[in-house]
Amino acid sequence: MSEPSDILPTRQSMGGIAEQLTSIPLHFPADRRWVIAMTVASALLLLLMVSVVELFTRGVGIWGINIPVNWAFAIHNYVWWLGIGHAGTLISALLLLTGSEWRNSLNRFAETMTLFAVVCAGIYPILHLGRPWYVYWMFPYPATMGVWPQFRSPLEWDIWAVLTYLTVSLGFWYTGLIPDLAAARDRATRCGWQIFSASRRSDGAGQ
Amino acid sequence: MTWSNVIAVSPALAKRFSAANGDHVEVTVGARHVEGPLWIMPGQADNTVALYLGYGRTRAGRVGDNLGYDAYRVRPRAEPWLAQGSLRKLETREDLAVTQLHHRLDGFDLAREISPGQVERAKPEQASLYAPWPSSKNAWGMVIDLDSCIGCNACVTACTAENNVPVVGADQVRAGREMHWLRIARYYTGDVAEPRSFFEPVPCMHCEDAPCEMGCPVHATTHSPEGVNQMVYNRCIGTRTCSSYCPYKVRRFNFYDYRRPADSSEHAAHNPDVTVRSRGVMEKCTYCTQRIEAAHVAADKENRPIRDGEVVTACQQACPTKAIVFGDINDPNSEVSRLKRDGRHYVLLEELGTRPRTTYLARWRDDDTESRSG
Repeated sequence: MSEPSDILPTRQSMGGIAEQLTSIPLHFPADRRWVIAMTVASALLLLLMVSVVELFTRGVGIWGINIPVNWAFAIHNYVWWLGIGHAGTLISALLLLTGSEWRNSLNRFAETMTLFAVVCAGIYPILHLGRPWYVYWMFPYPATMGVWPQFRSPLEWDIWAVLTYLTVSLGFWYTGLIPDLAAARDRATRCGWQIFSASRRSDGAGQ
Repeated sequence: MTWSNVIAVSPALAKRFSAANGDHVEVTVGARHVEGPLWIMPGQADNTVALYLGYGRTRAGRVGDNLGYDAYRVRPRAEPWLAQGSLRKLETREDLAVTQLHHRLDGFDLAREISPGQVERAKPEQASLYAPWPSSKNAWGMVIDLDSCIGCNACVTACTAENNVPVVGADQVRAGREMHWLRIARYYTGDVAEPRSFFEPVPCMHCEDAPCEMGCPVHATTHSPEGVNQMVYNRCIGTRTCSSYCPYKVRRFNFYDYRRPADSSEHAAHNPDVTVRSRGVMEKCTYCTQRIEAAHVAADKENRPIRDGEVVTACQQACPTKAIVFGDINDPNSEVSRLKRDGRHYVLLEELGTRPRTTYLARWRDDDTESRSG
């Protein structure tokens, strides 16, 4: 556990890196900066919440859309966020394909970015609806109405496309997360981390 | 043009004054003057100004007050239809609430003219990869004769009244959200000073191969066995895909809740046979499905088929020149079937392969020189 590795700075060992990583959730490296950044982000999120409430109560007419231009920013933003998500996927894929050994740090960041971008994209098919409270009608479930979604519609394919993308990105993200989960498990006092790290071995041979 | 009247001038006169649509101008006749928004009318004679009567009322209620200008203010009693006057451009302008922004045909054959030599008796139907629509007892279709249409907009008014179509107000019309189920498209071809101008009523085409039906993710727009493209308001979640896919752009969306309060007089004036649509729901021409169903009920009660002319759509009923004909295309003797066999018959945007049930009869070209050369 304390033998040096080729890709690490010579001063550090694997165990030391693991120690650093698992201490981040417990002790933030920069408390005040994090609080300020979190406050700004929360304020923006609050703006989103207020906008969504306004949208749902007044209607989709608060946007500047009309007939024939009836999607505009809704679809732009949807594709924009999916594009950002694809950037993360592209980075991960390129790093893997070029065999870069230092990919792990970037991979985590890229995959996390992808996941959240896909979530951001996924809210637009709900927000742009004229009656968003019925969005679940686009999902196939045995309805008492006896009607299923119309599967020839590209919007229906959108649902499946985004769901697939989300699931696959989650898979990539989780796969890259396993070593860190194992490291956390080694230092955890409760058994919860064992489930996430998918192993019960505690010999610390993470990588 | 909605919610206002205009002061119409020729393109050349507008150019002389460097005026654009919506610029405020002052028309002076004798000692009196009136101000209103300018409108460039292609084909209007130079050095003439057209004033439209009937607007500028001050005691017409909430909807009628303070719209446009009162042309009676400058109308002389001696010569009520023609007067000498002057025009002056003012500093202000307004945004007119117009529903059509583009008027040039640009070589497209959306509104057709035909001269006697060009009439073809039998035109081959366009080939399609899709199976033809299965036959049913009644198959509804509509033919609009562009030669008879005078662009009076009575069909639009009748449809709005019959189908509880909401009135959205000038601001929403400016935003492009008028709700009229059919529009009278006005097109110009040729020189802007002497154009040929066309009127074309465009309701829902009720396409047999409707792109809207393919696009809706929740089956909110379906096809009846009789060929009517149905809009299921209760199922619509408002994705607006159908409108995006419609090549004719005849679908209208309730961007806001345009309904009147339940205890208002407008609500009492609604047609009880037609659903009032709520916010977030798409709507469009239904071939007056309530009238079709009423005819079915009457015919079933008397154990007979529906007669030709028994189902009259609101637009057809109001048309003063009988330009709109609706009926059963399965009946070869019905008036609509006869018109569909007419040599002037054509399909709007036929090359798209939507196979619409609403088709047109081309206008007769009344200019002798053109028909000799064309």
